[in-house]
Amino acid sequence: MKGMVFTELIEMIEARFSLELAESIIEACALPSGGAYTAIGTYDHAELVAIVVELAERTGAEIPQLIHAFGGHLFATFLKDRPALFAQMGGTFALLEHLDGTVHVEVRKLYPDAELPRFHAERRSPTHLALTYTSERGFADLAHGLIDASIAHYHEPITVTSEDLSAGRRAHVRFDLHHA
Amino acid sequence: MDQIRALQLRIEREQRARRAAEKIAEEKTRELFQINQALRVLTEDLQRRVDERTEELRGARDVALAASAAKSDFVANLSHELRTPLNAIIGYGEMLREDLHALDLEDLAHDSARILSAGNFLLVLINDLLDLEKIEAGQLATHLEEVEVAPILWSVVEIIRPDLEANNNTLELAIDPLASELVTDPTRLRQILHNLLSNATKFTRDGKIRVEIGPEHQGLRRTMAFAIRDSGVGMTPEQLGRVFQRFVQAESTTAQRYGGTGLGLALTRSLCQLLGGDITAISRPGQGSTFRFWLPWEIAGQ
Repeated sequence: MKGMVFTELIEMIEARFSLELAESIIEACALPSGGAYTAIGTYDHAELVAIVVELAERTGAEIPQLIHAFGGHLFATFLKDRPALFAQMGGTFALLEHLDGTVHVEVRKLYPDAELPRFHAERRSPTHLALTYTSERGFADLAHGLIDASIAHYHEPITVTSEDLSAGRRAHVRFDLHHA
Repeated sequence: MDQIRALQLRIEREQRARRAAEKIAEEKTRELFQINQALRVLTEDLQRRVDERTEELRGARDVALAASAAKSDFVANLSHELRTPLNAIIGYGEMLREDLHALDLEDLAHDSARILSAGNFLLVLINDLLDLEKIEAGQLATHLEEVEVAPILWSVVEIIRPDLEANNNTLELAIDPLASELVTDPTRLRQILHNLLSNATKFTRDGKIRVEIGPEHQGLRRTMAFAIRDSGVGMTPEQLGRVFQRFVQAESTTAQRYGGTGLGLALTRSLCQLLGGDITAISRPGQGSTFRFWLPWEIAGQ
């Protein structure tokens, strides 16, 4: 998994909770990388899981909630890095429709080995977008957090419902977005 | 964990991360350098191969050009060599025919007339071939002057009249009063009209041949358009597609049935283009053919 995800997770823990909690979790997890993450490196996905599990234990928050919050944090980071892209998309539907075709293509130019989740967007009506998330990582909640952050960013009256198509593994989930 | 300890850990972690990032950057830089080197080698190799191929092709082209020039020289020389004895055959054949005629030896006169006819046919073929070779070699000079169209047409009609009558064809001429004069090469115009009219006569029996001449605009350019229509045998689309190629006749049996060499229309097109114009043909089997050619009204710049 790309190092950027790890550095951002640590940053989120520092910002939302505290520096001490972040370092304490890293120390407790005894991570093979020692937590010395760099955005341009690649690290074992299991390290991310270990950090999130430890964070949940320490804070008493639910794991899906934490992953969802991380999605929101990642959206803010993307927005800060690529404001022009988000301005150009103009709305959540367009953004999600361009994820696989445009956004992930750009990511692959920089990181050819990035293992990205697959997003299949289907406009079922002018006001209904069905987005299917597929990834063995099972981070559908992160996708949900990104979607919610996008809706908030564009100030859109969109409601989101989701259905897990992978028997609770959160690896294959359909999100239905309805624009009021 | 107190804040100072946390900060210490964080600094250590950041330092390790920085070193890891530097190592990754260095590896990536080396990788890029190696890819760059490989690309350069590949580019140089490609360039070398392109150069080699270009040199080979240049050589092949030079050989082909030399062979073509040698062939043209050969054909031109041979044609000249053939014409000299052929002129003797035709000259003496004419004398012989007249002598035999005077002696009332009609059978023998008829035989000598056939020798004469074959000789004349060969002469036309050789002249056409020589003209085509000259056009291809860019050596056929044109002599441009103000030309009156009608007298040229009439002179051609006079030549083909015996054939027209032999095939029982009628001839209609429609010359626009505005199409009286143009600047072109009169010899070559006569040659074009003769080729097209004798073809029309040859491939039409008990029918009609119509010649139309009139001014025409091609874009901003003023041209003189000539149409030769016949009600003869016509051609299929396939035959039509090949009709201006050298040594191609509508059918391989055409030469046996109608005579001709298959050079006439190729030469006609080359002549039209040499004079700054072009030629097209439309035709349907059993419904006759129309050949239309056009020439510039005046020479550019005049």
